[in-house]
Amino acid sequence: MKNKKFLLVAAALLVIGAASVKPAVAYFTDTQKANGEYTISLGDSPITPTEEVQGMTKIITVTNTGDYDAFVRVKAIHASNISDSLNSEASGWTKNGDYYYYASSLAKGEAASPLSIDINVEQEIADVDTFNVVIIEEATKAIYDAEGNPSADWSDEANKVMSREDYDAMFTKGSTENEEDNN
Amino acid sequence: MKKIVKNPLIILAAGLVIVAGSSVGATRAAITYSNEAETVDFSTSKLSVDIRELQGDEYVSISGDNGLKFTSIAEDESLKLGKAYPENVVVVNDSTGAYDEYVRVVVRKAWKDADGSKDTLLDPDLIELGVTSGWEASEADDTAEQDVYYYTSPLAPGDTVQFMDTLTINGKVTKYVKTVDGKTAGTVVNEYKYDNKTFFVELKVDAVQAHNAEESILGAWGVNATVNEDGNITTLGN
Repeated sequence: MKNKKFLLVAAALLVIGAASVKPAVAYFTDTQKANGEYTISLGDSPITPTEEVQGMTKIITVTNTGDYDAFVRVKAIHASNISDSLNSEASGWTKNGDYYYYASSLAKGEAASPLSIDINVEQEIADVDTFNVVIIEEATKAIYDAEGNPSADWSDEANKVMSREDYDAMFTKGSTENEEDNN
Repeated sequence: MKKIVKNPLIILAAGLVIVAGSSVGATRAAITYSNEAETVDFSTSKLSVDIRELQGDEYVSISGDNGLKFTSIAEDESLKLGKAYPENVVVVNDSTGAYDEYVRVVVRKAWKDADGSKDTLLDPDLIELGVTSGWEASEADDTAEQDVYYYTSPLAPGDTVQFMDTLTINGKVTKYVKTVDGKTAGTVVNEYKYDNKTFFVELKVDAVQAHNAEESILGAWGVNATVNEDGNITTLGN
């Protein structure tokens, strides 16, 4: 009788022991996490031109008064009997079509070298002895390639602005069209 | 005679004599010399992995919050959109024992607002990481925000492998722009959606033992991989 009791206890201990022997198995692993962030700023720079007239030459200096790099171009608007041309003393500027383009981008606060435009009256018009030449200047953002070389894209395509409705629709919570592919 | 022996005092005296006699012999001891026992510690070495960024001239471990410093962007006066900035991040097997390991990097990218909250309407694909060759991207785990890259061969202890070498913010961010009325009547000003937004990059590197490769990759990462005899991962399933 006593033996049986002992046997029972021993058997119970054996079962408990066998059940707990199984070890926890895991593969060796390790992990590390790293993160970082950086803020970008985008914007347009207003540019301020100043003009000076010497005889029949207009001298224009353009300064980048904004915070962002920009490429600039200048146009002279006048009546059709007048033409404008680039004075040989102006360096860094080239005339392409109606516009005078500055070769390099203007950094924040930088001023372009002075642009001299010669105004010629091709044809005199009777009774008209004064005329206006209006100077307009435009700036566009500098675009960089992989090496960091800046270039300008003056095409309408590159300077297109989204309509306010499209923009608001794209960037409102709950909109489904916030995936890339802006045409 | 009996009376004398039975006298307690005599017995006491006899007892003292015996005790004294026995202790005299007991205090003698041979001169011995022994060192303190030397303890021997047995421990298994740890499998370990580290991720490092090139800051200046040396590679610095960047695990932890805000470890990634983007030093080449910080040195430029302004972040130029479209420029591929050099950004060298390496993964190192710094296990103390002879553990080879397979590594993978989980990349999470996001845009954040000025107040630090994530802006889910902005496109994380415009943050472009130049991952070096040798790392396989897993299509199954790819989401808009997350990419997973597996290195196909095992890293021996002490080995370093380059994970990425450039970081570019795509110039397309300038396309998301509208006009708002300017301060003076009749003028409009451009408002850029990505102006003053912060791009956030998180790199998590996982390492698993190379021994029993297929089982350990399945057990630790839940990925069905096949490994050939050279130890290179040939396929990554799910």
